[in-house]
Amino acid sequence: MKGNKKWLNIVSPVILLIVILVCWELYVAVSGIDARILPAPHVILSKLGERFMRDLSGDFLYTIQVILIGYCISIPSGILLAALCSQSKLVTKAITPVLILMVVIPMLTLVPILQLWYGYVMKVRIIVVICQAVPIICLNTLRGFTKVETAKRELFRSMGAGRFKTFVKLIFPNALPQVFVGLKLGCIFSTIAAMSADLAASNEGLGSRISVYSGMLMTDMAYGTIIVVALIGIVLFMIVAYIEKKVVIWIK
Amino acid sequence: MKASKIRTENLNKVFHTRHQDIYAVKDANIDIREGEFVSLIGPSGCGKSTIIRMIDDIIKPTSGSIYIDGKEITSYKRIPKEINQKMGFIFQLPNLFPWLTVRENVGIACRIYKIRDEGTQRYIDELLEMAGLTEYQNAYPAEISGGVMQRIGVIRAMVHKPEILLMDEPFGALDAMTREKLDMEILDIWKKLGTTVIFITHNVEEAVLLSDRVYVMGTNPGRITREITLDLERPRSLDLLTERKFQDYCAELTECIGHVDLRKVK
Ligand SMILES: Nc1ncnc2c1ncn2[C@@H]1O[C@H](COP(=O)(O)OP(=O)(O)OP(=O)(O)O)[C@@H](O)[C@H]1O
Ligand SMILES: [Mg+2]
Repeated sequence: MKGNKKWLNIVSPVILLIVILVCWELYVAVSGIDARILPAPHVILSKLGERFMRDLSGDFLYTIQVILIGYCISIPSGILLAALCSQSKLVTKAITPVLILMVVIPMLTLVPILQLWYGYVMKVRIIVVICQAVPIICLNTLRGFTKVETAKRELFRSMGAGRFKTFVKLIFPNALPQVFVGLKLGCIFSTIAAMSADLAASNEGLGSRISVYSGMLMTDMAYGTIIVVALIGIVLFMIVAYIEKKVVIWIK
Repeated sequence: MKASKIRTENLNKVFHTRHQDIYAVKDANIDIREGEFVSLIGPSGCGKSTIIRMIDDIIKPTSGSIYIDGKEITSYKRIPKEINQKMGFIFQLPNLFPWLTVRENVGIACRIYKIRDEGTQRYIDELLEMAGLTEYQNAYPAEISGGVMQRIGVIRAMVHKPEILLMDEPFGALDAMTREKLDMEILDIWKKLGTTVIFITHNVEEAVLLSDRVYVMGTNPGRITREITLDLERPRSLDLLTERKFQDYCAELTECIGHVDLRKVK
C-alpha cells in the first residue's frame, strides 16, 4: 500500500505533464498559430537539444554558479541571523516586518546601483540572490525558533539548562521542520532572483538569454531556456526536500 | 526521625495577569522528610502544580522560602547545579521530544547535566527494563501509545538518580486500570531507590494508596487546608483498595476536599 502510494507520487504529475503537453501540441497543430508566438513542444525540445551545448551551456553554468553560491551563503546567514534575533523578543518583533518587506521587494532593483559600485561582475548577481533568499529563510526559521511549547521549555529549565544548551538541544531541533520550509522557499527564491538579476544586468546568464531570444523572435529557444531554468529550480527543490526527509524523520 | 528534605516557609505565589492578580499559592508551609512519600491533593486550579514548580525552580515564588536539605534556594537567580540535580520532575503530560528516540528521551538529563560515566548507559538499560520499555527504545514518540509515553516521562526524571521526585499528576490522563498498574510500579521504584516523593493528584484513592502523608489544598486563594498522616502498612498492594481502613481514609479526604469547596461557594 505504502509503496504503491510512493509510486503514484511520481507517476501522477508525470501523467499530468504529458496531458498538458499533448493538449498544447494539438492546439498548435489545429489552430495553426504562428510559431513565433507559441511553438509546439516538440519543436522547443528538439531546438533545445540541438542548440543547448553550443549556445546555452556557458550561460547555464554562469547562472548555476550565481544560484548555488548565493543560496549556499544565504543558508547559514539566514539561520544565524534568525538565531541571533530570536534571543530577544523585542528584536524579533522589530525585525519581522522588515523581513516581510524584504521578501516582497524584488531585489533586481538593486542591480543598477550595485553595478555602479562593483561594475559588471558576477558578485552583483550573487548579492541579489542573497538579498532575496536570506529574508525568506530567516523569516521562516525565526518563526520556528520562537514557537516552542512552554512545557518543553520548562523541562529544560527544570534541568537547569542554560541559554546555549537550550538552543542547541531544544530550540534548534524543534525548529527544524520550519527551517526546512525556509530552505525550500529559499532555493526557489534564489532561482527567481538569479533570473531577474540576469534580466536587469543583461549580458550573461540564462535570464538575459530569454530576453535576447524573445527580442530576436526565437520564441522556441526562449521557451527552451525557461524550461532549463525551471529544471534548475525543481532539481534544487528536490535535493533540499530529500535532505529534509533524511533529517526530519520524526514527521511522517 | 529523619532529617527534613524539603521545607517551605510561608510560600506565596501571585500571578499578575492583565485582568487580575491570581493568588495561586498563599502561605504554604510544608515539611517533607527524607524518603517520605507525600501527596498534594485538591481541586483543579488550587496551586498544586505551582508549588512543585517553585520547588524545582521552574518559577520563582513571590515571597517565602524553600529549603532543600536545609539550604535556602529562593535567593538564587538560578539554583546551583548540584541542588538542581537532586530533583527530577515528572510532568502532567508526557512532554517528550519527537526528534529523539525513546532511549534518547530517557537519557536527555544526562546530556544536559553532562553525566557521561560508563554506568549511565547501563542504568538507562535498567530503567527501560524496569518500565518494560526495552522493546521500544529505538522507536520515536510518534509511534507509541499514551501509557507508554507517560512511563517514559517517569523514568526520564530518574536517569540522573535524583534524591527527590516531583510528580505532577503523572497518570492523570490515563485510564483507571493503567493508572493503578503504574501506581504500583511507582511504589516499587520508590522502595528500591529510597527517593523522597511529592506526588500530585486529584484522585483520593490514588493519594491514599501511595502516600505516607497527604496535604489537602483549597482554592481561592490556593492554600493548604489539612494535613493527614496515613497509618497504613507497607508494602502496599491493590488489595488495600477493599480494606475498611483504606476506605475510611478516602472518605475523610473526600470530606476535607468537599468541605473546602463548599467554603469556596459561600
Ligand atoms: N503562568 C500563569 N499565569 C497566570 N496564572 C497562572 C499561571 N500558572 C498558573 N496560574 C493560575 O494559578 C492557579 C493555580 O494553578 P496550578 O496550575 O498550580 O493549579 P493546579 O492545582 O495544578 O490545577 P490542575 O489540577 O488543574 O493541574 C490557577 O488559577 C491558574 O489559573
Ligand atoms: Mg496542575
